[in-house]
Amino acid sequence: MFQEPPAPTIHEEFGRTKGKRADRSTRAKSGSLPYTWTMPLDADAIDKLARLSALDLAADERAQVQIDLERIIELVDAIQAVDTAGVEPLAHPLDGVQPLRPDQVTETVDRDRYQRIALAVRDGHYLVPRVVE
Amino acid sequence: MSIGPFATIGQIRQALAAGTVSAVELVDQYLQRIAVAAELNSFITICAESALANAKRADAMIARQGARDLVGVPIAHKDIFCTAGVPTTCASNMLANFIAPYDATVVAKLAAAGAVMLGKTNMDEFAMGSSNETSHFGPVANPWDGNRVPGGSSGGSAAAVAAGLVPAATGTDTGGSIRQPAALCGISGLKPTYGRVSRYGMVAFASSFDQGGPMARSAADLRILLHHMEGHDRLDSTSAAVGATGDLGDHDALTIGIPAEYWCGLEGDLTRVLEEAVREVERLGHRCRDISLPHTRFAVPAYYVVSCAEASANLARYDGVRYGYRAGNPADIQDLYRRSRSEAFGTEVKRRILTGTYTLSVGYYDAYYRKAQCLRRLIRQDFLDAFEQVDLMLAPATPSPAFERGLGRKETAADQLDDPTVMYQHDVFTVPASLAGLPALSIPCGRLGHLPVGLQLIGPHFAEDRLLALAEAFQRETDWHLRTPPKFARAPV
Amino acid sequence: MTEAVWESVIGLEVHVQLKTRSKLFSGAANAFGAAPNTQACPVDLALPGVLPVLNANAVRMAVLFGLAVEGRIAERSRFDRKNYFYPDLPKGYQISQLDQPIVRGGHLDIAGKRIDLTRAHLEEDAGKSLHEDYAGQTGIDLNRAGTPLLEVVSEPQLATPAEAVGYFRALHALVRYLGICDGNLNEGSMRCDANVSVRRPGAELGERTEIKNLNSFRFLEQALDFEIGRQIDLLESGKAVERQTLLYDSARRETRPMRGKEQSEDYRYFPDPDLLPVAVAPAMLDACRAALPELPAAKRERYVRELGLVDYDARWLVADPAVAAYFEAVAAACGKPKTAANWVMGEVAAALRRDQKDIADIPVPPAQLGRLIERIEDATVSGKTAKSLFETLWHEGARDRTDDRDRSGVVPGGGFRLADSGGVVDVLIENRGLRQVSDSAELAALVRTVLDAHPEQAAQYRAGKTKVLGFFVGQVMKTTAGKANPRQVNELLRAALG
Repeated sequence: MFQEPPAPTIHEEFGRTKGKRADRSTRAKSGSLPYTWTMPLDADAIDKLARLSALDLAADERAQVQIDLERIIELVDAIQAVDTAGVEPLAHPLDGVQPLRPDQVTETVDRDRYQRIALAVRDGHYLVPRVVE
Repeated sequence: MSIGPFATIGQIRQALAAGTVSAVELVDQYLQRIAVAAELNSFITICAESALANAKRADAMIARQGARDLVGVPIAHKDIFCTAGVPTTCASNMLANFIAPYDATVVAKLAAAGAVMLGKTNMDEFAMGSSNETSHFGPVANPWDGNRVPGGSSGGSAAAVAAGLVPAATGTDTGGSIRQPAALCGISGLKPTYGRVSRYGMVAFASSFDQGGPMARSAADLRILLHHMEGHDRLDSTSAAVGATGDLGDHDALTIGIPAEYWCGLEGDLTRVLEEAVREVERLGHRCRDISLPHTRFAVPAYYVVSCAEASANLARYDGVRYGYRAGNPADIQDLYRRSRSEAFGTEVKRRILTGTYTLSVGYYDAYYRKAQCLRRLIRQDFLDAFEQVDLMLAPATPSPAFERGLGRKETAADQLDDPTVMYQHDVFTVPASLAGLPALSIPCGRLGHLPVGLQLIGPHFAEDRLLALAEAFQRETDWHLRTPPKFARAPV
Repeated sequence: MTEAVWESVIGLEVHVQLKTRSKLFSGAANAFGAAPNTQACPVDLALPGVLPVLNANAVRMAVLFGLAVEGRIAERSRFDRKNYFYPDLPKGYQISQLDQPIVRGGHLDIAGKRIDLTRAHLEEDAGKSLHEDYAGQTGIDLNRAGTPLLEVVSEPQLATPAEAVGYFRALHALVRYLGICDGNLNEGSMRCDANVSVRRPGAELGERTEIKNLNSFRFLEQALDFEIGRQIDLLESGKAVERQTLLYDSARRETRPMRGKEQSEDYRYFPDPDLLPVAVAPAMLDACRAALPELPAAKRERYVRELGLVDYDARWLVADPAVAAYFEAVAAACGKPKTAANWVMGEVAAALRRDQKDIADIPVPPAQLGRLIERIEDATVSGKTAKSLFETLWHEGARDRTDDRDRSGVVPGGGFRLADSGGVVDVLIENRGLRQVSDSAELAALVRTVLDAHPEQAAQYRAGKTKVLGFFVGQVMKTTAGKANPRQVNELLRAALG
C-alpha cells in the first residue's frame, strides 16, 4: 500500500498531480475536455468582480488580486479534465429534502436590543446614505 | 487541587463528583494558564468574570444535586459561535464590535449541560485559512513550536487545548478546520457528519460544508462533548433528525480501508509514522485493505469552487448597514458598501469572495460551479462505493506536520508575493470527507521530529459511534494523545 | 391610424404576498403596518449565523395556486440565491426559485381568452426604503423583509392594456378565492411588473421594456398606454426601443428609466446551500386538492347555467369572493337569483360605495335582504317601499354593529351573523304599516274616489291624452301613502277609464 514514492513536499500542487494512482480513475478522462477554457482576467474583469462583490481595490491590490485569481483559477481548472456528462450536480451532501416549519409566530422582536449593535438608526429605521431609485 | 491542566473531561468529572476539586478552582487554574500563555494568542476574548460566576453556580449545583453532564467543566468556544452578550468577532475587523443578541445552538446546549465558558478562541478570519495567520487579532502560535502555525481555521481552540489552557473547545470544520489543527497541535478533533450538529448561530463560511464539532484531549472526551452538541434543531433545517450517538458498543473486527490516493505527497517520514499507526490498528484486531477513491485529486479544486461561491454570498450581509464595521463618512450607498467591506475584510477573505463571485458569474457558472458540483457527486460516490467494502477509512490528516508561518510566501528581492494555492493544497486530505459530508476525526498517532502527527479516520454518514470506538481503542493502546508540549507541560501554571 | 399598424405584446409578473401568519423563512409575524423594524427578527435582519427555515403554509398556498390554475406542481423544487447589494435586502441576496419553481405552466382565463402561465415560484420580499423622511439619508424598515411572495409569471399573450388589466383582475380574484392573499393593492399585497413591446402584426417580437412595481389596475393600464405610445413614437421616428427597466410616475403619467439599473445585473444565482430541495408530499397535495374552493370561472358558469344570470352580471358578482358569497346567501334566502343579483349590483353596491364599506362589514345580513326581496315578489311591499326599508335596515344594522364593536372591541364572527333572521323585515313592515294595499275592492273604491274628484282629467284621458294616467296613479298612491300596489292601480284605472 505504500509503494507510491513520497512526493517531495506539499509545495507540489496536489490538484494537478499526474500520479499513477489518479490514473486508475475510470471516470476521470483527461484529454476529454468539452472545450478549452480560457478566461482573460483583465482589468475589466477584475473591475466587474470588485463591483459585484462590493469591494474597492487599490491599484497595487488590483495587480495582486489579478495574479492570485489567475493562480486560483489555474488550480480549480483541474476539474475541467473530468467528463461529467450525465452526472447530476450535488448541491448538498445530505442529498435529501427539507423539513418544513409549521406556520407559527415564534419570534418576539426586541427592536431596541437588535439595534443596540446598529451603526446608525433613527426612529427605529436603519440609516444609509440617500438611495435614489 | 488534585487535577492537572491536562486532565481529560472524564477525569475532571470524576474529581468534581468526588469533591476533590471545585469548578471555581478549575476555572482559576485555567484562567491563570491562559494569562501565562498569552504568547500563544489562542484567545480573542476571555470571560473571567462570567466564568467564575458560572463556576460558582456549578459548584452549588453539584453540592445540591451531585455532578452530572458537563456541570463545572471548563470549555472554550471558537469565536465563530455566537454568544449572547459576549463579542463574536469571527477574527475579523468586520465583526470586531459585534455582540450577538442570541446564543448559537451549540453554545446553548453546552451551557445547558453545565459547561463553563472561559472565552472565545482565535481563528482564521471567517474560518478562511489553514494556518491561523489570517486573524485580525494576529496569528496563533503552535504550542509545540512557537515559529510554527497551529493549523486553521480552529487554530486557537487547538492550541489552547494542546497547551492545557482549557480541557476542550468547540471548533468548526468546513474543509478540515477541526481535523487539520487537531493534527498539527497533537489533540483529538472530530468533524461530525454534516447535519449532526446544528449550524444555528455559527457564523457561516460555506453552508453546505460548515459543521461544528468538538476538540479535546481524547476520543472519549470527543464522545462526551458530541453527545451534548448534537441533535436536530428547529432553527437549522439542514440539521438531521437522527438518533443520538450512543455509548461505546461492542465492536467486532472492522475492515479498514486505506485509500491509496492519500499516500502520495506526504512530507518526509510521515509515511513511516502513519504506517506504524496502521500496524497498531491491525494489532487491535482490525483488517486493513487497500481501496481507491479515484476522484480524490479533484477534491481541492472542487472544494474551492463551491466553498468560495457559497462564501461570496454568505459574506454579502456584512455591508455596514445594520451591524459590524461601517466606513466613516460614506459619500453614497455604494461607497458605504465598498469601503466598509474593503477596510474591514482581510486579504484572504476578499480573495475568496472575488473567487466565488467569479465562478458564479454569467458564462462561468457551468464551467466552474456546476462542474464542481458534479465532481462533488463523483467524490461522494467514491466514498459510498468504498463503504460497501469497508467499515471505516484510515488516512493521513495532513500532508505535513505543522509548518512555519508564511507558507507560500516567496521572499525574493523583487517581490514578496503570496501564492494562496500552496496553502489550499494543505487541505488535500481533509476536503474530500467535507465534500461528501462524512464524519471524520483526527487523533495523534506519532511524531515527526518534535511535531505531532495526526491520523485521520473517516466513517460513513452518521457512523460517529464506530469512528469514536476505533479512536478510543487506539488511545487505550497508545499514549500519543497524552503527550504534552514541553514548554507548557509544567503544572499547574 | 397608428393603432392599425402596430400591435402590443404584454406579459405580466405579479408578486402576490401570501397571507401566512409568519414569514417565509422566519418565525417573525407577517403583518402590515407595524412600527419600523418591530417585525424583523435576527433571520430577517441577516445577523451572522442565523438560518432560514421554510414555512409549510407558504408551500401549501403555492400548491393550492398551482392546482387552481391547472399547473404542474413540481415534485422537487429548489431555492436559489439571487445576489445583489441593496440596503433593503439585508442578506445581500434574495432567496428565490430560478430554474426549479414550485409551479410550472397553468392558465388563467379572462373574457374570451386563455392566458398561459409560465410559472409561479416562491420568494421572499425585501424591506422598504424610505427616501423622504431623513434629509440626505434613506431609512430602512425591514418589517416586510422575508414576507412570502408567490411570483406569477404569464406568457406574453396579453394584447392590450385592457387585457392586461383583465388578467390582473382575474388573478386578484383568484388569490382571494384561494384565501392565499388579502388582495389589498394599496398595501402592496399584489405588485405587478409589466413587460411590453410593440411590433408590426406578424413580425418578430420587438425589443421590450419592463415597467416595475405597478400596484393598481388603473396605474397598470395608464403605464402600459403611455409606454406603448412611447415605443410606437420611437419606432415611427426611426429610433430604436432600448431594453430598460422603467418606473411609472403616476403624477406625471409617464414612464422613466430606473436609476442604477443601467448595467445589466449579474445575479449569480446558485442553489441556496441552507435549504435542501422541497418535496411536496402526496398528503399535502391531496389536502390541497380537497381544500380547493369553487373558483371564479366555475362559479360564473354556474351562475349563468343554474341561476339564469346573464354573463355580465355573473362576471361582476364573482370578481370578489365575499360579494359572491353574499349574493349566494341572498339568492338562497329568497329563491330569486335574478332579483338578488339586481339588488346586490344595485342598492347594495351603491350603499357600500357611498359609505366606503367593505362587503365584510355590510350592515344588512343576507337573510334580511332575502326576506325583503321575498316581500317584493309576493307584493307585500312595493319596490319603492323596499328601497326605503333597505335604507332603514342598513342604518339600523350599521348602528348595531357599531354597538357590538363598542361592547367587545371586535365584531363577533365578523361575518353576516348579526340579526341574521329575516323576521326583522316583517316586523318593520307591520309596525310601520308599510304593507302594500293589494285588496282589489279597496283599491277599486279608491280609484273611483280619485276619478270622481278629477272629472276634467278623466275627460282628457278619454279624449286620448293617455299621459294623465300617471297623474291618477300619483293621486292614488298619495292617498295610500305609497302603499298601493302600483300594477293593480294601473290596471284598475285603465279599466275604469276605458
